[in-house]
Amino acid sequence: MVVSYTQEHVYRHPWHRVTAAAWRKFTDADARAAPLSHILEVHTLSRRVDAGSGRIDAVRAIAGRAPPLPLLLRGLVAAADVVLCVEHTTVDGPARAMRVISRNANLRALVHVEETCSYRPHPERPDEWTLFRQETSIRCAPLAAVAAWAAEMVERRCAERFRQNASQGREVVETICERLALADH
Amino acid sequence: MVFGRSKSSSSTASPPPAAAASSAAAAACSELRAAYHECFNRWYAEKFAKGQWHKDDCVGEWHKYRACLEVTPFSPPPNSITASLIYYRSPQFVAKTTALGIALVFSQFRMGFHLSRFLVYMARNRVVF
Repeated sequence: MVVSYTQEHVYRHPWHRVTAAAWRKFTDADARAAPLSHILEVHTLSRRVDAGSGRIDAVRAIAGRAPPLPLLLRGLVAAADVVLCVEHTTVDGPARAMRVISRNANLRALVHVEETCSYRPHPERPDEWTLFRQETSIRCAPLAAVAAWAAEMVERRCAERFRQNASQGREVVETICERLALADH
Repeated sequence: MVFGRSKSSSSTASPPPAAAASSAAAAACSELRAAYHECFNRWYAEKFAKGQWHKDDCVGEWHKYRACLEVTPFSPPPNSITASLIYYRSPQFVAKTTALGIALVFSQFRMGFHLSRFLVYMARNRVVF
């Protein structure tokens, strides 16, 4: 059983500003202080910039403090204090497309989460707004093999938690966009 | 006897040079990482995202950071993230959590016998979570 859902959000900022804010989301000092205080470290594992075609490929490892696990999973695993996510980001400058794919690197025997985010100019106002789309897929492997209903329940509980985190992330991006807008003017 | 005593006192007085060098190198890598992040964030916001991608302004910072990582010997400090990731769960711990899981399942869920069978299987085969 896999629980999937999609969220969309419109940033009322141009694409270049929203994507710049997205890059800064986890490394921003103010964001790390308050809304994203659970983020411990951000490491860039590899990066490739193609100056001719205007493409960026980067892989980052993001370590965060683990949220409390759903009740049914607490008996299955030691209290994991760190969740490690690997984030693969692709930016196509001429097409004004940015795609971020995140997966958890540890605790995969427990919960497998894959999150795909895309940032594109808004179809109606391409120079003023940015359309953000986030697709999340959650699979609880050990329970799925034994009791599908329990796996689905845990997956839905995780989904609720991730929705809250996603709204927090969007607020951080909005705040950084405002700051970048002031810097532009 | 006198030689041994002076040797131990000298070793306790000053920290080992390898550990001091390793911690200093780790701090230097952290600063280079922050410098690269700052450079990339500025370059992306001011140039790349606005169409000027013909020149990569942060190659120098990136190479310095990578060079620092490659030279540093790998010795994670205690309680680091790496140490947490390779945390070992003893067989006693597995047995305890399995028993706890069984009790939890039986007490709270109707179809708990399915999950309890799964947990018993894992305990008997000494599966490490």
